[in-house]
Amino acid sequence: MSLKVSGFSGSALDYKIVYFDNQNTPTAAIQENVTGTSGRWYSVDIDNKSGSPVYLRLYDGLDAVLGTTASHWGFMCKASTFERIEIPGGAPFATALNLWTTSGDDPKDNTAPASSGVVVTVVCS
Amino acid sequence: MSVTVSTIADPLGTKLIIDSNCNATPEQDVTGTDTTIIYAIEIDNTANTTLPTYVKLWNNDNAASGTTMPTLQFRVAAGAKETYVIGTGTSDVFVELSFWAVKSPYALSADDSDAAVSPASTVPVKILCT
Repeated sequence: MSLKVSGFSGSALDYKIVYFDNQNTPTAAIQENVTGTSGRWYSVDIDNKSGSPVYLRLYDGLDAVLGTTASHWGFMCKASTFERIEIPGGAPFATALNLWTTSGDDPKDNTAPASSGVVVTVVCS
Repeated sequence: MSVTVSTIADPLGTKLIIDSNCNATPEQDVTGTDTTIIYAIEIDNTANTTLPTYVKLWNNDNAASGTTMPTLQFRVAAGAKETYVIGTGTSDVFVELSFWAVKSPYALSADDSDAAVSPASTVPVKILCT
């Protein structure tokens, strides 16, 4: 598991790319406050490498607790498929963006994805 | 300047579902088909200026807010209208598309009593799908 956040900014653009590689020993652990600030997210890519459905979970706030906190957004991606969800105007996260992946459908699920895991890419400000 | 309007012979989405007053009472199996793929969803929460709304979709009928675990869940900010585009189409083919809108991100009323409570104002929802 690894999390990389790359920022690129200029006079016209100020975006970040969050790359969450959850393939090696997949975990349900919450990746907290991944950009370190508030912002908007514009797209998510879910590349499910596993043979079971995966749920990408996004939460806006601080101190989310795995197994207790319900995600604000939840997107199911079927086994061995890729899915991209975009929001032209962006969806705001007023406090902090947290993300995690699970294999269960409960918004507060804490079950890690199946073996081979998932890769998630988020474009946000 | 000239304008040309052409009819699309093979459109991406062949159905537009419009629910002008989505609330906690689920709309069940809205397409009546078992091969529904969703390409876009527009949720208008402009009437609810102080709280976000959670719109939840489920791949089955007999959905019940406060009990059913959603397949997809969207939060729309207070006073906002947001459009989510799934260019690839949902990876999950909905055999029965059902959806509803509530005040809570939690699925179970046992976790949050608002899980089965409608937003203060109903929420127009449009879904482009096959």
